Amino acid sequence: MTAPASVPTHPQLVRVARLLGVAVEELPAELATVPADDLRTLHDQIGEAIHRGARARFAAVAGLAARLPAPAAGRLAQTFLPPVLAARVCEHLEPARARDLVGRVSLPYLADIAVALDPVGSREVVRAIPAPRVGEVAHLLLERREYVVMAEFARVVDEDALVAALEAASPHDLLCVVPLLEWNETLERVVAHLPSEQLDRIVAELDHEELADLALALDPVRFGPVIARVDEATVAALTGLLLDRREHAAMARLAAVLPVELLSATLHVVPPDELDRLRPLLTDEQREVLAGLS
Amino acid sequence: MDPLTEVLGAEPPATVRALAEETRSALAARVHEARRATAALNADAVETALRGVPLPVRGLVRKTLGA
Repeated sequence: MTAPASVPTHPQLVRVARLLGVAVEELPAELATVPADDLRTLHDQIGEAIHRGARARFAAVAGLAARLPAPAAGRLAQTFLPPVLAARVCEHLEPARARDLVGRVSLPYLADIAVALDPVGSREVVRAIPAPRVGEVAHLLLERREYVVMAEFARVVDEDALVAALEAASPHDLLCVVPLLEWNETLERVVAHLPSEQLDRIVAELDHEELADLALALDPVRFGPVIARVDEATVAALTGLLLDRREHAAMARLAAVLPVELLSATLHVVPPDELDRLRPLLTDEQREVLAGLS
Repeated sequence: MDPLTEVLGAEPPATVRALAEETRSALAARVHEARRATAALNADAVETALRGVPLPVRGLVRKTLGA
């Protein structure tokens, strides 16, 4: 069984610290008050500042990689180019060349580059990587619990690559990655169509507390495919947990994806004082179900 | 000039500019240190590459890296 992993509480701080080569705890504590978007901007500015003097050299190395036969370029890069510098060279590669090279270097080297890469600055290169290779790198990154890195890549990869990456994730990985994701249409589509085997694993491997965590991280309205696989007792347990956590709005959203029979059974066991808190948040149809119980 | 703005070569976001001077200075020092470390890594990589690159492509690599 997968050992429990913790979700980074401030993922952009993790990125800034990594770029500066320090632990998060070594950063000025006040930095934690800066909003995530501004920390991301600061991260990119720091990245630029650190590598400013070497930009021409990185472009030259990318040009060299374009002129050498791909097998030789891959071998030379892996032997002589540290991943943190290779990541900067990637920003200057032609996407087609990058697509060729990612099959010529080892997975651990590629994963090290991914950790150092700015996925937004290298968007075209990242999107040129074949989905199966993305899945392999994702698998390694997940093994290393590089959840922040995974979440940053999820912002830029295309749908096939995102499918490959998420398919590599165990239920406990998803529990750590999902809270870090920025939702967009591609991600919505991919999560709405997770393979049935993966959904079965989520239900089988996560306990009630973890399922509640995942429901909240996903937003309960995206939890329908999971809910469709659980029994009445599990829904009742989830309901109890959400209400214990004072997540009444989330419970109301979860109610929206519950089949009527399950909704009815669930509301039947909710204490009256909790029903009073829940009632204003329900839709008219749900209130009708509630009225039918009394 | 603010030390952080100076080392970044650009104005950081307003919420970062609003941090205490001590915080911005500490951050600027970290960026300076990271720049030094990266420059050293870069120089090491060039040196190692030139030592280890096979002879047929060594001239090309030397020229490319400006070394």
